[in-house]
Amino acid sequence: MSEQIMKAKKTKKIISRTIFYLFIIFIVIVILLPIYFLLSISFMSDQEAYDWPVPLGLSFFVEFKVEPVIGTSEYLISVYSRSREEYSSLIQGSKIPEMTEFLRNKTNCNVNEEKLSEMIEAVNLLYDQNNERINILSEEISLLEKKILALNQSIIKAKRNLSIVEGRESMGDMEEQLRGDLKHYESEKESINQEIEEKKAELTPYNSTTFRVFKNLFANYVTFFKVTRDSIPALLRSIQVALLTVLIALTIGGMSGYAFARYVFKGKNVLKLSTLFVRMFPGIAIAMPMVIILAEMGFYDRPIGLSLVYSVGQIALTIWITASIFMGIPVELEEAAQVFGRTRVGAFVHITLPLALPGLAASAMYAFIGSWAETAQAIVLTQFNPTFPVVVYQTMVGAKGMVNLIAAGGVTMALPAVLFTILIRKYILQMWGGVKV
Amino acid sequence: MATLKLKNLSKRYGKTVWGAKDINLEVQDKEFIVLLGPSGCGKTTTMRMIAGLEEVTEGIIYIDERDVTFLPPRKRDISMVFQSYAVWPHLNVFDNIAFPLRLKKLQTSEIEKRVKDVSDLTKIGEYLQRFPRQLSGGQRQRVALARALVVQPKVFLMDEPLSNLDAKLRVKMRTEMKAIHKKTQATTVFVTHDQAEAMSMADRIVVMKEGSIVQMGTTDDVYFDCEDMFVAGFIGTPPTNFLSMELTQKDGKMLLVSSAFSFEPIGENHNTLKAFQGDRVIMGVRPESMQVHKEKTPDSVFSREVMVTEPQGSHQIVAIDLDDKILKIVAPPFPKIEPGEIVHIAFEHERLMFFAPETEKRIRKE
Repeated sequence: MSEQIMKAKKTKKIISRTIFYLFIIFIVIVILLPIYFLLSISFMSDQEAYDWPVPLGLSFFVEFKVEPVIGTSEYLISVYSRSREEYSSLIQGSKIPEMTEFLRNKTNCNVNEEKLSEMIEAVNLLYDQNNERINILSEEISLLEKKILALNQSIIKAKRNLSIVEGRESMGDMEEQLRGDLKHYESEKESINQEIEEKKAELTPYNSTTFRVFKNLFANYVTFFKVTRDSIPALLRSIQVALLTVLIALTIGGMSGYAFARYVFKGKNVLKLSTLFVRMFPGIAIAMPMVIILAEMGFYDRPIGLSLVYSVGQIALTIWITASIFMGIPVELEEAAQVFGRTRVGAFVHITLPLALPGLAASAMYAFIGSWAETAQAIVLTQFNPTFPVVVYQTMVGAKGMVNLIAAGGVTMALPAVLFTILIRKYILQMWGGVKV
Repeated sequence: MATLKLKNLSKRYGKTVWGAKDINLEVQDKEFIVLLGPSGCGKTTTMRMIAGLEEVTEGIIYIDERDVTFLPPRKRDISMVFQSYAVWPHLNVFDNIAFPLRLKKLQTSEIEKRVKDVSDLTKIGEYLQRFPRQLSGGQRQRVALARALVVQPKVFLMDEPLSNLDAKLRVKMRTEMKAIHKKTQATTVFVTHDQAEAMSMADRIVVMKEGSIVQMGTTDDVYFDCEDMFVAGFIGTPPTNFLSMELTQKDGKMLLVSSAFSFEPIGENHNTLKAFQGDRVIMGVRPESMQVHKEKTPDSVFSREVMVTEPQGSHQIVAIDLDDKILKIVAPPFPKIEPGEIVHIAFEHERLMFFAPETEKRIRKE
């Protein structure tokens, strides 16, 4: 009896654990998959990004195939598509510099001209050596192709007859015969197709050469910075804006947070709540009037102007975070410092500030990320000196559909925020442990 | 070491609320003073004013004859132990204790020596490298104590330092702190609401109520010679029994009559009551100042049935129902007294206290 209960309990435990882990895995996938997708797309060439289905794994090299086009002096270059598992033709031509340029743009590979001409020579040599064989095989293939054409005609005929006969009871025998014919034709066509494939496969080593070239993984990033107007100054400006916002939000917000935590005054709660009202206005609506105000102040189109606008919202958040942190630090700790020889300010700097560091770091992170990635207001409030998100946005609008370029821009944008977070993670993680006395 | 003098010290919150009012107190050199009172009586406010953590509304504070009323805490030459210990969590024990010394810019060797001395005194020598969160409550308490002792202040302030400890540890720390005080001879002001703590540690107890001092004196003074009904009722477990008595004359003799019994006041009590104008008094009698006899004796005042007894090991508490009041008597553990038994009760007349019903003040001989 008890054994049964134990067994039931064990099964229940296993089931609930499995569900728990499945749930965790689901969450991880939901969070990580889009990030991974963005990252892998940013490393893909045009040709890869537009393959369907989009290959999920990263590739480090590309396989090309060169074959002469019979009857002309041109050559056909194809590239191996991982998702379709076959070669798809890219360009047909005879001018080598033109072809390498095209390949670089399309596949992110630096196929140098010597290599390509070498390959063309090789394929020519191959062609000369196996001329007879190639001719025989080609002839066989063209014969087979003719057969297929004939079969196709028969199939169409049979289908037409069938549609006439269908439904008439008196012609039941005929219908059956037609169906039998159709089946026969189709199976024959299939077998001939197969034969053609075999012959082609036999032909491939004689009339074409393949070669592998390492892909330039960061080509998209290079292209992104090449095609966008002043993206590196924009990146620096963005960092400037974000750091300025952190500075303003932390000094003003931190000080008010301390006041809210330590002092008792009339209307304290109402005031604290009302700081959040600022965040309820849509930023873009404030941005329009801000253009005029900032222009009057001489801050329009400058990082300081942007960071002032961002600070308004960030200060409110900083107040809430720091106030709760300061509330968690007992006043006695400061008082003790005062009794044992510190001034009021000294007690704050040497006792409260180190203890509040996790909270301050967390609000710094919020302020940094919030102002770093903001686009809508930045578009309105800058003109000749855009921030980085604006540049990425412009790429998206300008380069229609170049997803891999946009992805590269997006990843570049995420990088500093990730770096900043990693730098201050030690302090943030402390916060969840709480300040214990 | 030094003296501490408070002159008309007052603290007002807002416009009408007095946290402390007209506190006059002189603490002698090396004295251990305990501020005792129920919560909200102004004892902590007074201490915080002495420390400089609370602004003074009126009055002057002298430490060693120096007016420190408006000096910041760090210039007052005091140290303090907080109720919540206030040990800094981001510093280890050594740094916590050395903190005040470093600010005084002492030599490193001197700091190390003094920290070592004081940590030996408070028995935390082995924990110097630990952080506060790795210590138990009692150990943190010792760190706070060591930090306060290391500065060798003129006045040593303790704000309910033992109230966060468990009962057993509290009693142990009480003894240790008294021993430390004996050794260091520091002038100390100790705030507590625990009367047992106050009585066992204090040279002098200052009993406070609603922001004012009610009585100050030695343990015996505040226990046996109470200034008013508040002190008598606040100090002692079980507290003083109060009995409303009518004061009458019968056959030329003075007689105290209650609803349950009557007796003639003798000795000093007679002289005290003779001068009193009025016909009602409230008699305060400590549970220990009565004897319970199983047999009638010449000095027994009245007899009554026992309602409940509470055995306490070292003694037993006998409760007697006096119709309008329950009288509690502390009796020796043997012989055992059973509920329902008729007992005879005698008073120790020299320990009786009489209070005026209107003012609740003690009636004293002119």
